[in-house]
Amino acid sequence: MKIQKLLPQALKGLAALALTSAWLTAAATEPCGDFGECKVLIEINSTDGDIGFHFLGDGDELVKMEITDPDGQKVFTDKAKGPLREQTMTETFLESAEPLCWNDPEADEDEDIVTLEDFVDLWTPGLYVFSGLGAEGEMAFGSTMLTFVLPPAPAEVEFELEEEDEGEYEGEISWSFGDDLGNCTPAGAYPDGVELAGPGDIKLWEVVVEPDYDDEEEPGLAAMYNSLTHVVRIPGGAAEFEVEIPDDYLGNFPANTPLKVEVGAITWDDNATFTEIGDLCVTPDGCEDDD
Amino acid sequence: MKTTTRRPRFGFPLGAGLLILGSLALPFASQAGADPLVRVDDGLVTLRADELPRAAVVTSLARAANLRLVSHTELGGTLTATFSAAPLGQVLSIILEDDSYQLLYRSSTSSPDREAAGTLWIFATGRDGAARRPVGPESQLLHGDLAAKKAAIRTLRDSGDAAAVHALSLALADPDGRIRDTALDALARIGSDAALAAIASLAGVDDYWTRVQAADALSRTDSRSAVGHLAIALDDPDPRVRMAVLEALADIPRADSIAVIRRARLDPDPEVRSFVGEALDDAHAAIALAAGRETFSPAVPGESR
Repeated sequence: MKIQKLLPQALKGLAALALTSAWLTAAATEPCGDFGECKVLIEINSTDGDIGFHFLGDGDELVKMEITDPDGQKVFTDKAKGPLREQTMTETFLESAEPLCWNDPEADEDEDIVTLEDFVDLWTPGLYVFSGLGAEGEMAFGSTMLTFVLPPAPAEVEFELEEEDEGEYEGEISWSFGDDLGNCTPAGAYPDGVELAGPGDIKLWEVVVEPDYDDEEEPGLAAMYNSLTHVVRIPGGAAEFEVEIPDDYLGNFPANTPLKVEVGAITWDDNATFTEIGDLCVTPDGCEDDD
Repeated sequence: MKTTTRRPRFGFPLGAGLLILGSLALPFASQAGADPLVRVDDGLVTLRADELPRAAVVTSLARAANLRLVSHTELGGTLTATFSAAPLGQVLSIILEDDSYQLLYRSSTSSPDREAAGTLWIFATGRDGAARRPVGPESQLLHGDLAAKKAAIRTLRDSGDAAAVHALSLALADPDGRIRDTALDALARIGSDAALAAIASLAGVDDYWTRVQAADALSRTDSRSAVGHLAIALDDPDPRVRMAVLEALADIPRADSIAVIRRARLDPDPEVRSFVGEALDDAHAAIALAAGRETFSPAVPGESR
């Protein structure tokens, strides 16, 4: 764990990074042997209470990529065919399904539940080896670590709108360091091998703001606005756990646009736990049908 | 007639040997012309056997009744018997002697012309002891809810012994696909010859996708025995399964898998035949990558960062 903190120390010197790409492109084992980048990680949504295994491998001109777990068992194979074989592949990013990790009373009766215990039983911590094969038969290998050091869910996540100039509002999102995994917190003790990350284990905080129109009730607005996310990252060691969301962003949405906010804690091992708050609004007094 | 009449008992024995008599099993009935005369009409059996191996009789009977057969005991000895329009259950009780059985019929079939009507399980619960009430994870597999069954599978997988493999093979027939998937994964992880045989027994299942999954699970172990099972599965009647078998063989970094892939050059399906070249390329690549992984020294975590 400690040795991995050697990585992006420079990040700590930055006040804030506002990025629009997926957070996964920002943190990884980089380089990763013959691969430009590789990572395997656990992602938890502590609010919905779900858990998934995600990975990314970025090689050069590959026609095949495999990942084997620390037991030598293949967990992923992909292969380029037809035109893709001629074009070859570079980056592969994949998210597993994210089953519920708790007995959500609102879930379907036959919904599959993968508790934290189930999850850590399914996956083996340790080195995951990425193997790639190029079009000319050249091989590439790299490895990265999966750990069960899981960041606690950000707690006390709050969103406030403050008037900057007349009619122009800036958002402020704040949170605190949590002490559990939200709805993925096991009923009893944490399974063997699982550790809650401490403050020093957090590489960065990621804050995501996005419009939250209902896909079924307002499909047009949802299609138009929901993908317009705003992502801000700050270092794990930031003095204050808060970020501002500029009017340049919020001012683009019509009044009464519903919002949701996610705050994620991401460790040096790339494991991530997100806390989500919803029923927010770009309009200071709340959206009209909010009552 | 050398028979012992008894009432069938039901249960899951611990410690019995697994013997798959399905389509991947030894073809007892075809050995040395040992096929008994057997016919099953509307559940009524007409059968004549004269000093025939008991296993062969049971295999032929299951085939005639369109039943998938999974035995957890070696059916030894010979049988001389004649039945005329006798109820199937009564015939089984007689010819299985001290062994228990369980007969489960499918509630429905999507393609009745080729799907098995059900499964006949045979358990060694004869003179060595009456059927015992299952305990521990085996019991959970039968009576537990989803979480309990998954936990049971985990326990059995970690045990990995013969009894665990038996119980997990039963879980492959669980009505819940999630349990079947978990059991399949557990057996693949155990990877013993018995576990692979249990996976291979899915070749007798009607659903082609299950057979595809079995082929894929076999490819997760790099063992010779997996190649052997896949070689048999290469005769699957469904070309989609044979394609999956070729992919599975191509995933196993072994020279003997290449030899089996080459066999498919004579496959009756043109699509399967046309896939052989790609499968051979993949197999060679798998061997090269496996060799490369052997010599690859992963960096100490963090050093490469």
